[in-house]
Amino acid sequence: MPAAEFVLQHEVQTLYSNHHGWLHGWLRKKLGCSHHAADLAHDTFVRVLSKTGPVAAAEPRAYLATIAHGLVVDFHRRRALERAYLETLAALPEPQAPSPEERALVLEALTAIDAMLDGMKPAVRQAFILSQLEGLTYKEIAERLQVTVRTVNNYMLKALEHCYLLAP
Amino acid sequence: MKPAFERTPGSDGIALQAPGEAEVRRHAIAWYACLCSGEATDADREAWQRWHRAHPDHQRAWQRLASMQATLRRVPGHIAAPTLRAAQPDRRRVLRGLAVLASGGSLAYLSWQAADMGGVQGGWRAWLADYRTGTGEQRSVLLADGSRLMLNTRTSADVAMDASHRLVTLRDGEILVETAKPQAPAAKDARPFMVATPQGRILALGTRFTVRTQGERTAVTVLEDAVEIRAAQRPGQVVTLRAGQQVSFGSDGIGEPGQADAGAADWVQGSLVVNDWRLDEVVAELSRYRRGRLVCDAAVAGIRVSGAFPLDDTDKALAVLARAFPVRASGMTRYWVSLVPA
Repeated sequence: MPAAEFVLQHEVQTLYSNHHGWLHGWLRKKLGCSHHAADLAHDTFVRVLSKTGPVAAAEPRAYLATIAHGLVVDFHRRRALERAYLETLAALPEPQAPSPEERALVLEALTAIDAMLDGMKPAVRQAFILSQLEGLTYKEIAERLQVTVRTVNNYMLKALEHCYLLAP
Repeated sequence: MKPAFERTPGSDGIALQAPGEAEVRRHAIAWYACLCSGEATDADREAWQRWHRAHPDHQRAWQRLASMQATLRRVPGHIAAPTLRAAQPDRRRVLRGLAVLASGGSLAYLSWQAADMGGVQGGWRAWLADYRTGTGEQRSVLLADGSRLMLNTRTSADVAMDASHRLVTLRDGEILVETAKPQAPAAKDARPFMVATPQGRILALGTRFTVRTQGERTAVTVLEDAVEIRAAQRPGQVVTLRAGQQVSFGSDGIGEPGQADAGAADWVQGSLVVNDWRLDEVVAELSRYRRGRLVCDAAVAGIRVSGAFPLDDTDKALAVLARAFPVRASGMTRYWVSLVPA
């Protein structure tokens, strides 16, 4: 094991033994559930381990909390999506009950789409969804959103640029 | 509707001048926007093809939009659109509140307050949590008040706790509740513990019980102490259910309680214990723990079955049935099995 890597692992270990309990408590307060808190505390340290730079932050707890906070936000986002997805399924004319595996796959895909849409202005996002997911023409979208076709076109250009910059 | 840049004369020459990345991007986006406007003509599509062929940079730029489209196509539009709309980030808080609102007036009020306080410590603490299990999965959850929930297969439940309530909303499936046992009589949690289903509400009177919702009905079995049940559309009728009793009810009212099935909570130990059940009932019960379809041929449906079957291994349960009764499992795949006459 190269010396640098050893130092890094050692640092993470120290970080872990000194602050894991605190982080778990902090997450439990945020999430209201010990199981999820344990999962996210684990994920937080996995993130720390995957960083290549040194992790001996001057404020280790602030550092951990920053990473953990990002995970909490993702967690809630995924929850909101999952709930919305299940509500959508229930509201279909012929309600569907996909298997847990299918649900997990769809949820993963929805998370990817949601991440792509994240940061779009509401009107831009709305126009984009109507066009790209529901197949409406710009004219139909214009009527729906009570704007001109030209505005819809501008919304689409903004949305597409947003996606383009995020695309691999 | 042509992309704006196409209208400027001499635009065909742009490719030859090796335009910069920003310009190629702008063109690719304008083409894409044009082609899905709903008014693109064959001439537009041909012009787009000329643009696309003209330079590898154009193809690379277009590839990014194609990959965006591939991401969008991973979910059918009629599912993705309403889901993403409902989960719109700035509506998240509102939706959280609404979910609580649906479960009761005063509770909703408290939760709004707590949400406005941003979950500040020391004041009211309110949260919503979702717990789910998949097919064949069971899960034990320790709640913040010390009560325990066991989730049986294919179950989803929300938990909401605040200053005055402990509420479990059972959306689907089956749970076993063990309310927290106080260390000392004085330490007893004064907040009522309630389970809500679409058909009604079950108030725990310090106790151990199971709740199962299936279709239009909810079944409650009390293992220790007692619960009070109110049907959603007849809140005036209160039925007290005691240890060893069970009742199944719809939202319109609660019938006479009957004697609890002795094996009602054996799923917690991972087994299905039946006494003189019809085979089709046993198969229906086992199918809750198994992915795919499990059915029973009408010719053998009426066979009377007594015994214990493992729930974590339904293949084994079917093998046990095949050994003891004149039936065999037949199926093209593991996901479509039918019990037929042997």
